[in-house]
Amino acid sequence: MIIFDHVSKEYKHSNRPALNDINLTINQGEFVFLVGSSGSGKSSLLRLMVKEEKATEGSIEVDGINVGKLRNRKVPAFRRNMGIIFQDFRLLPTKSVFDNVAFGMEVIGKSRKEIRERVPEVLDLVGLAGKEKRLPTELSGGEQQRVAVGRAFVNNPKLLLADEPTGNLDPATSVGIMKLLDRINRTGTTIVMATHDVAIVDQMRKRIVQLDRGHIVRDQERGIYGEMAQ
Amino acid sequence: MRPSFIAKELGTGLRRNLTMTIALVVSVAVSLTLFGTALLMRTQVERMKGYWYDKIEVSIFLCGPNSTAVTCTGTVSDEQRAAIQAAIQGLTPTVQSWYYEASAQAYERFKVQFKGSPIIANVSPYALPESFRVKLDDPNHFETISSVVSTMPGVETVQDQRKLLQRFFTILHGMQTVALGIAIAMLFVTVLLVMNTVRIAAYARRRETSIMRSVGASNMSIRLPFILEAVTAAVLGAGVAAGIMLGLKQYVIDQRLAPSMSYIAFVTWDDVLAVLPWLFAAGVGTTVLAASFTLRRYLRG
Repeated sequence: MIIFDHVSKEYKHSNRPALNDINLTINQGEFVFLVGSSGSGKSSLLRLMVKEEKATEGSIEVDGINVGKLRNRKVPAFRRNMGIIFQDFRLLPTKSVFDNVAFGMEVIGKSRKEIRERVPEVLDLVGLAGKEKRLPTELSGGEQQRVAVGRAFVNNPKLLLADEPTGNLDPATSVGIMKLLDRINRTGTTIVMATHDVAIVDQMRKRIVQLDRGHIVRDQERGIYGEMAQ
Repeated sequence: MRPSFIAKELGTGLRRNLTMTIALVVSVAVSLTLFGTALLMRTQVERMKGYWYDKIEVSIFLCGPNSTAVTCTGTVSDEQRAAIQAAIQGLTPTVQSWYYEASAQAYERFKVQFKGSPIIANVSPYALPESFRVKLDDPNHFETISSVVSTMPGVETVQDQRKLLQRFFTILHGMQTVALGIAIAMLFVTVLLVMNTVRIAAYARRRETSIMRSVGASNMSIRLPFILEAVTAAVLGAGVAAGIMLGLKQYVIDQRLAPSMSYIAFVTWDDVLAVLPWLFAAGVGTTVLAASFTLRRYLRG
């Protein structure tokens, strides 16, 4: 599903590469945690996968597509195969829950009929049935993140990327979001999640890829955070 | 994207950015009004040239009893007059038509022209010189006829009416250039305003656009709402400008100027209507270009 082959990333105004010679393979259907302290390169790794950044060296393949050679105008179509979730939810404050989830379908030109069928399904999946008409400000943080997960998943992506999705949530609420992501993972969607959250990582017992100053220092199946080489 | 979705987004965007939208509409309206006026002034000058050049004659005044020109020895004789007439006829086709005006006829015309003026009482019927009035195939061929007849005995002077008008046209041409210059400056201001408006709108909606990008919206569909907003403002502005132009034609030209200046051929309704599409084209064209250019910088995919 995702193959990093000797990938390095350097930013113009930094003396140290953000990623240094990364080799990483993630298979279809896997659930992978990217862990590491701030500045370790987690976010850079995610940004390279969606072609928000270009690798300085090496090649990246996502879903059979060589990301480095992807033409700019093909990037939108490429991104339709993936969903992205952010720490700050990134909901549209003036739109209802239904419209926020529908937005993901509107902007890629889905018909009204498809939207009316699919959005309630997704809202049901993320546990927000009955709250379609609420505005984001009328929801709790956990509920807002559920809307964001719904929007990311509404187009049935093969890959879901999450950048600190529980970073703004309390532990109990975070567990709910993780259960939701686990459920989505079981439908066959690959999930890559960058996080600091020790409790969550330990609880889930999924594959852990740990980054430190641009290097992969650990890659462990069913790992726990406590084993981190500090 | 569905048209109804785009329309809804457009409405939201315009309302959110209302003050800038109004500024944009006014700026577009002012610059396009000036632009349209400059275009119409050119038409006006062409029309007047056509009207006047059509009526322009070369007047060959013949010697009278008091003439002092070297070619004059008292009143023109019958032989001299016949020779001049023959010379004029010999210049066909440069000479398109001609006629002879005797002193008495000149006096009649003078009386009509200055009807009601006390000056008539001071002019005797014989004070006005007799003349040949020649119409040329092209008003620019004055030299051709002047060189032949001006030195003939019995010709007092040869007058080119075109020279009298040229000065007037020079003034009009100057006004037209000034209007066009102001219009270009205003269009430039409009371009800057469009760029600023779009930049602010893009910043205000960076959340939407980042979400759109992350779900895989095409660059076109991300940029379209911004461009449509600018185009809507441009169309409204062009509409206002068109209204002003039509108003000027109706209330200033037709109702005020035309009745008191019957000797000027003013621009027609057709002339005004012909300018309007250019207003819309210029307004929409510049805003689309300015908006696209700005978005390229501020909404990188």
